Amino acid sequence: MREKHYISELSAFVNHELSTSEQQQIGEHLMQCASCRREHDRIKLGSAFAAQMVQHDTSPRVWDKIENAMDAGHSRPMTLIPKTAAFGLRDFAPYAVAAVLVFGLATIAYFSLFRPVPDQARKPVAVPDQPSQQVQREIAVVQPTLPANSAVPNSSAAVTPDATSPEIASPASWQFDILAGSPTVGAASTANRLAVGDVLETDASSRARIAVADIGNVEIRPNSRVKLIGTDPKQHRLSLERGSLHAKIIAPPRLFIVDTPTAVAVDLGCEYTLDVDKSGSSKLHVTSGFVSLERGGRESIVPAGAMCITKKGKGLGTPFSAETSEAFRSALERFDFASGGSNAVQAILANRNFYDMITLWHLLPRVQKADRDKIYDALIEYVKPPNGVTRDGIMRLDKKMLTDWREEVERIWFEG
Amino acid sequence: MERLALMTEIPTKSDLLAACRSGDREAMHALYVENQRRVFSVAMNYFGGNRDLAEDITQKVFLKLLVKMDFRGDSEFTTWLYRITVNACTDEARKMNRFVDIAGIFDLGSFGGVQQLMAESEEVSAAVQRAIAKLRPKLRVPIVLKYSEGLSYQEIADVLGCSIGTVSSRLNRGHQALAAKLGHLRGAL
Repeated sequence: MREKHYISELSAFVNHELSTSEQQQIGEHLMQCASCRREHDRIKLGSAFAAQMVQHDTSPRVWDKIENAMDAGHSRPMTLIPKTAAFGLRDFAPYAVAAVLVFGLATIAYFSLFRPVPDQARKPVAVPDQPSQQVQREIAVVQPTLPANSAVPNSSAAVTPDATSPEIASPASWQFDILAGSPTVGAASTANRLAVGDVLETDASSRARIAVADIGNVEIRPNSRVKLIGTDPKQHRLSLERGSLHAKIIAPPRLFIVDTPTAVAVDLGCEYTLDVDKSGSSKLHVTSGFVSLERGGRESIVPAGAMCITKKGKGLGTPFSAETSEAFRSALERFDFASGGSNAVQAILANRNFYDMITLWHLLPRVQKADRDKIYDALIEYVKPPNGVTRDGIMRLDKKMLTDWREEVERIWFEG
Repeated sequence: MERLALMTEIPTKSDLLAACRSGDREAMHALYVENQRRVFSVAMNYFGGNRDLAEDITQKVFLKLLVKMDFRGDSEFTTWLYRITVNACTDEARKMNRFVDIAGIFDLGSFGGVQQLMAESEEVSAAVQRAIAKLRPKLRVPIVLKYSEGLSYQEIADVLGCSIGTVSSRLNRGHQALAAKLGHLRGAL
C-alpha cells in the first residue's frame, strides 16, 4: 500500500490549525518520513521568518488628512451670493460661470479665425508656395521674430508667430528640475533644459531630475556627470560618465539607453539605479522590471531584485540576487573578474540558494562544458526545465532552449 | 442609577457604526483609532515597509469606510475591513503596474554593503519585509494576514472569500518561498 504523505498540510500543522488527532497523526508520520520532515523544516523556517513581521501605527497626520478630505468632500461649494427664495441665485451661479466660459472661448475662436490682418501683410500670404525675396522681406516686416532671410516653408507657418516662439523648446532637449544645490549644464548654471550634446554635472550637494521625453524620469545624484547623447521617438540615450542615476521609465523595451564607460544599460521597461565609480566600473541594481546590460556582444538580463557589475578591463559580470550570501557573491566575483574557473564554480554551487537561480542560468553559456553539467543539475533543483528543454540541448547551448528556460526562471523568480 | 449605567456603557460596534453613519465626527475618530493599526499594518507589510504608500492606503480605506459607510453587516466588521484593505493594496499594486517596488524598498546601499547590513538584527526583519513584498500577491496576502494580524485560517478564508484548503496551500507555498529566499539568514533568527 502506498504511504500517505502530508506535505500540503504542513503549514496548517506548523500553525497548529489542525485538530488534536490530525496534529498527532502528522507528528507521528514526521518521525518516520524523511522527505516530509525535510519539507516540514523548510516550512517551519519560512514560518519563523514570517513571524518576524510586526504591526505598525500610523502617524497623526493620517487622521488629519482624512478629516480634511471629508471636509472637502462633504461641504457644499462656498458662495458669496446668499440663497434666497426670490431669486435662487446660488443655483444660477454655475450657469453664469459656464456662460462666461463659452463667451470667452467664442471670442478666442473669433480672433483666431477672423482677426483683421493689415493690408500690407495680406499680399505675401496669398503668394504661391515659393515666395520671392521681396515677399519674404514683407513677411519679415509682419513677423519681426523671423530673420529676414529665413526660409519660409509655407504661408501658414510664416504667419504663425508661435512657430518660432522661444517658449516652445526644441524637441531635442529635456527639461530638468533642480532637486538640491546647483547642478550645472555647460557654462549656464541656471538653465533648466538639457539639449543633445549638453553635459549636466552635479557636485557633492546637488541633485537634479531630468524628464526623459514623455517616458519617465532620471534622477541624477550627487557627484555625477551625464551627457544627453540623443533623443528622438525611436531612442533616448544618455551617457553616465561618473556618479549615480536612478531611472524610472515606462516605455516599450529598448527605447531608453544609458551608456557607461564599461557597458550599455538598455531599459526593458523598469526602474533601476546605475552607479559608475572613478575607475569607470559600474553597478546596476534593478528594482522593477528588467534591464539588459550589454557589452561586446555579451548580454546580462537583470530582473528586479538583482544586480550586475562590470569592471573596466574585465568585462561584464553575471547578474546576482541583491540579497545573495556574501560567500556566493565573492565566488561569483572570482569567476567573473579573477579567472576563478572551475574552483570558483564549485564555490558558487556550494553557496547557492533559491534566488541564485538567475545567476545559474546566466552561467550556463559562460562556463566550461564539464561545469555546465553541474550548473544544469543545480538549476533544475529550483526551476524545472519547461517541455522541450533537454539536458543535451542545454549542453550544446541551443538558443531556443536556453531562452525557454530563462523565461521559466524569470517566472519563478518573480512568483516566489 | 439606570441613567448612570447608560452613560458609562461602552458603545457597541453597531452603536459606533450608527453614530458614524449619522456624521458624528467623534465616533468616526473612535472607529479610526480602534482600527487604524489593522489597516496600516497590512498595507505596510504588503508594500515592504513603504510608509508613505501605507499611509495613502490607510487614508483611502478610511475615507471609503467613513464617507460611503457601505458595510452591510453580512460579515464581521473586521473581516470586511481587512477585505477592503487587501483590495485597496491589490488595486494600488496593479496601478503601479509591473512589479511592486516601490521606490527604495530594494535599495541596499553601496557596493559590498549588503551582507554587513544583513548582520544587523533589525535588518533581518527588513530583509523579511522585502522578501514578503516580493512574493506574488496571492501568496503575500495570506502571509500578512496570518503573521501581522494573527488571523486564523478560517478568518483568512473569510477575508479572501476562498476555502481553508486554498489558504493552507497558499501559506505552504509562501512559507517555502520565504525559506528559500531567506535561508542564508537562518542563523540570525
